[in-house]
Amino acid sequence: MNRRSPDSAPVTEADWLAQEQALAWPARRADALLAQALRSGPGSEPPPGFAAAVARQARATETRGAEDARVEQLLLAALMLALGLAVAGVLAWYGPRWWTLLHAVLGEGAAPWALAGAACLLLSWLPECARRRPAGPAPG
Amino acid sequence: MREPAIVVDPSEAIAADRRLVASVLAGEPGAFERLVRDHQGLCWHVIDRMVRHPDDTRELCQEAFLRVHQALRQYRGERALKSWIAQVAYSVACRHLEKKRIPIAGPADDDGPDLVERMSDGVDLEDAAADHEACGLLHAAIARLPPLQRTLLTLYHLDELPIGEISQITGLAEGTIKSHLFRSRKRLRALLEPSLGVFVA
Repeated sequence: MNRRSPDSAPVTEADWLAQEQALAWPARRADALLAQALRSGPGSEPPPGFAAAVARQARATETRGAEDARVEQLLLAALMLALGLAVAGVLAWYGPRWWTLLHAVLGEGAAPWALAGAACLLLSWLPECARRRPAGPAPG
Repeated sequence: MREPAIVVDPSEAIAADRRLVASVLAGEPGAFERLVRDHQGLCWHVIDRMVRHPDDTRELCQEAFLRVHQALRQYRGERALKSWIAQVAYSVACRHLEKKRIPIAGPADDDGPDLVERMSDGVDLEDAAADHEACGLLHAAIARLPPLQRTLLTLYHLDELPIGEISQITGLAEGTIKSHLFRSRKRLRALLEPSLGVFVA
């Protein structure tokens, strides 16, 4: 049998208001003491200088973050340069062979047009890639 | 039922919050320190009541403000900055308790093991009749409540936040908050009932 204890009964708005009223204008000593105890909790407070210490730490974190971002940008630029050089090297080495193959497959007049089409696709895809950068972290 | 201590125009308060946030984002010297000073009390109360460990409270409060600093651009100024900061503090404290596998709330229909039973150990309620002792007894009982219940009592009674704002901070429905507050206070009051009679003004 599923028996509910009196404490598990749903709290009605009337119950809530009655309790609020009893604590706001206590007629009983128990209510007066409870209201006083609830208002005066023994909670601790932040130590002196806490705000200044946190602000210093936030500044340090921000500076460190900016330095990390600079290093990250430098590394990214170096990697892009290396990638560009590698692509140029591959094109210089295999380019003439691929060009001949393209002519053979597509025909004499179509190869430059196919190349122009591929360049257009690449140009329209690059800005989309740049737009899809990840968002910043959420709090909490 | 409860009257606010100071009446401040909410739109004016939010405008002041926006100005403060703008100063921090503009890198104005001392602005972030001012923000921390203005809101450290509430942030500390939330975390202290949740974790009840002085060293952890300090560390987590710092962490909460560093998160606030990192994510301040996300504050849209649609609600009070203090609620937004308290929400970050609450979520930092919850994550800490989850990591330590400490339950945040008692069962839905209960506010933890019977307070009268637990407080009876070594405490004579007859001797607690004096106001000071009775308050001490109640404070000890509040400290033994599950983290969520004692935090709700603190936010509502000590920090005097309205139920709606507590709901934004904790993500709980207003009815659930009222239920927790009602049951916790009922149990706390039951501690005093046997030893105290009718109040004679």
